[in-house]
Amino acid sequence: MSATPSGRRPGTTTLAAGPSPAPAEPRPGRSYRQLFDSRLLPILLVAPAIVVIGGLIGYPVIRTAWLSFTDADLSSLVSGEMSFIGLDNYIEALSDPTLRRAAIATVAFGLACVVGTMLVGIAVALLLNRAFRGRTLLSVLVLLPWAIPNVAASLVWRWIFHDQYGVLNWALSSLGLSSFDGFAWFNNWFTAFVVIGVVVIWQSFPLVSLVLLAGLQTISADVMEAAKIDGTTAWQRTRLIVLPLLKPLLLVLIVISTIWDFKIFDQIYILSGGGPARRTEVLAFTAYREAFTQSEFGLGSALAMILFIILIIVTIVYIRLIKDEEPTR
Amino acid sequence: MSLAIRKTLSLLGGGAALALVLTACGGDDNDDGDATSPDETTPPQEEEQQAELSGELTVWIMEPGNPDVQATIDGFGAAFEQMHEGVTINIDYVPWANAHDQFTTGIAGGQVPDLAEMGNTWTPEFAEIGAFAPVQPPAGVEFVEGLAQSATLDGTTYGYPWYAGARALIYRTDIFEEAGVDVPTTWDELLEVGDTIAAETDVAPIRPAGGYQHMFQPLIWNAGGDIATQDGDSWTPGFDTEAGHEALSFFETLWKKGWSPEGAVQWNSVDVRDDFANEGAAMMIGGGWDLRAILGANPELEGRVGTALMPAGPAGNQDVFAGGSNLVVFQESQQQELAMAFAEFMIEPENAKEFADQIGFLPGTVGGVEETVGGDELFGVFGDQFVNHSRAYPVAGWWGKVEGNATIPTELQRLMLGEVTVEEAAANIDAGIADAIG
Repeated sequence: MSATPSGRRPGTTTLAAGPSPAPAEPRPGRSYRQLFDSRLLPILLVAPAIVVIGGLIGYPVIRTAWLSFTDADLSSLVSGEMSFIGLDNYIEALSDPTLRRAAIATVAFGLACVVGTMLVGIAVALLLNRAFRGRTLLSVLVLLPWAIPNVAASLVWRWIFHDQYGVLNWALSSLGLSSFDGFAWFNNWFTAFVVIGVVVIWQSFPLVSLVLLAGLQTISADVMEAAKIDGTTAWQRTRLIVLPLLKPLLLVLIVISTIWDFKIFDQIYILSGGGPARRTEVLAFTAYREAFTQSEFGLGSALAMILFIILIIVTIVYIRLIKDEEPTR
Repeated sequence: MSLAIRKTLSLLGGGAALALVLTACGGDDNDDGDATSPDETTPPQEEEQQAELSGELTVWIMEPGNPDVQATIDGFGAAFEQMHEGVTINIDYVPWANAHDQFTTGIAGGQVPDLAEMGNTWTPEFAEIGAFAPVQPPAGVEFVEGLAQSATLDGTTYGYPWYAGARALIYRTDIFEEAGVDVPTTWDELLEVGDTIAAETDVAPIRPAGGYQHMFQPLIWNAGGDIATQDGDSWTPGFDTEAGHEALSFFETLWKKGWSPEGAVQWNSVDVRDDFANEGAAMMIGGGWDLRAILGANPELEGRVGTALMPAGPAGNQDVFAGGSNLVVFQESQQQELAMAFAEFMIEPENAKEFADQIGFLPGTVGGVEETVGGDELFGVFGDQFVNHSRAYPVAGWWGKVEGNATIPTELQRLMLGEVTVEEAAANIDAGIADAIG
């Protein structure tokens, strides 16, 4: 940092970087400084952030990756001894039926939640984008699920879906659907996942709606007006104008939702506890169970790494998609 | 109304249930204390207090979920500080739900307290890796055997037995009267009485539940078997045996009676208790803390509930699990002497009694139990059950893994869902236990 050139403030430097290149060429002394400005300075400026992020994220990730190749358990905590066992943890993670099931459930359930969240989010955003009485009140209400802590919300939902005392079973059976009298939502992995999915979507759609609503309001009314005059239907306008214009926003939201929904933990912990018979466990939950209740830190780390790798792959795919969207810029 | 009751219950229940699920505590100090410490350690209090204790002590106690109880514990700290100038006691409360993680990460990071309350099923697990300092509980005190077993690993005592409890049969006297039945004392009688109650009244006799392992696991003892037997350093799982099959069959029979709703596959102890408080069942297996929560949530049950010892199994055994907490001193503590002195102060009969009674548990000493509930028509049974008919789960580091992996509840749930037979469930449980043993 000491070598900041001749009292020029970094701010000015960066700003100048755009227009300045033309006159800079001829003199060698200049180009030296320019090299500093264009190459070294940016690195120096982001260095503190890199150090902090590296320490807070890089170290744990590397440490977890390393642990995943060892047999670290409770006794390692005290003795510090653990042995390198290669890919054994990964082999176990993929060959043990319970663990494999958790990995598959993570992807399938996570994707289903992303799709659900996006659909509900888009629908609510489109609704809120229309002028109607009580719109402000509704937009505030929509935000509520997002503001409620996961654990508290999950507890409430567990009550709603309780087999004996839940208001849902009561309502459904009062409506004449007697098969829902005492219906045990959490006895079966599918219905249990449905309930968990409802809670996850209910909690994550508000953010999607809010962001999309902001995006929707940037779409020029003239464009819509013109489309209307051209005789398009509402669905055509949504499909051909609104969604394409929102695409960059949608992709970012999908990435964020994916990362969230693949890491679901609290809702499962509270709602089903991973049951029945560990069938509603997803990787984040299973990693916790292996690492902290079973003290198999090596295996738990391997599961965490598998989740990490899945998320990286998904994110790379999305980033590619986003990049494809932006060549015009 | 019932919804309100239910809510209160679930709140109460939440805390207590967690406590239950997690507290399999026991202290085995007894044996060692008696055997190894003759008289020089006997009057620990007065003697040691003169020894100018000083310094700062960090203590982790499980969050009792009740401000009054917390005040009692804080009171112990204050009283001890008053007795010893220069001593500062810092008590931190750790919720049961996080406690295991917190101990694990504390040990990993070298950030351990000096003294901590430790659920008795966890004591062996952490003791095995050398996290705790060996201790000598005061001699001349008779600790309850079932609790004392759990803190002694390979002949060394690692905890002061603080408090524990044992489950017994809680039943509705009015329903029993209505059905004209007597309290069951054996499994067969339980089934008979259940059939009559099911026929004569409109409440369920008893609710078997898939997530209530402390109700199920002791059944294997009642059938004459053991969860696992130790021979020197090796352990052999015991479910795939005649006794193990009997225990599983009995549970399956209860389930197949249809007395529990389908959803009970996922019910835990709190669900069972809430249901009982909501007047859904005529019997349940529960502890004094359960009964307290039940009467607190539904005072109308006052005078309509009774207690009895656990019905005996085919082997004539009626043991249940002694679940509670030890006080452990951490090996890494720089204040071990002070920690031991404070632990001994906490388990002094008056203090332990005051605290245990407040939370519906029992002190870890025979005398303390007698003093707390002796002669009590309703709660005395829990004392009898605890002192005379309770034992510890296998005292070994691997037991924590069996609990952590939900090995037994998982197979119970599969049995209830009809996915496995008794024989398969038994074999799977044993495989899971064998895997944990390593």
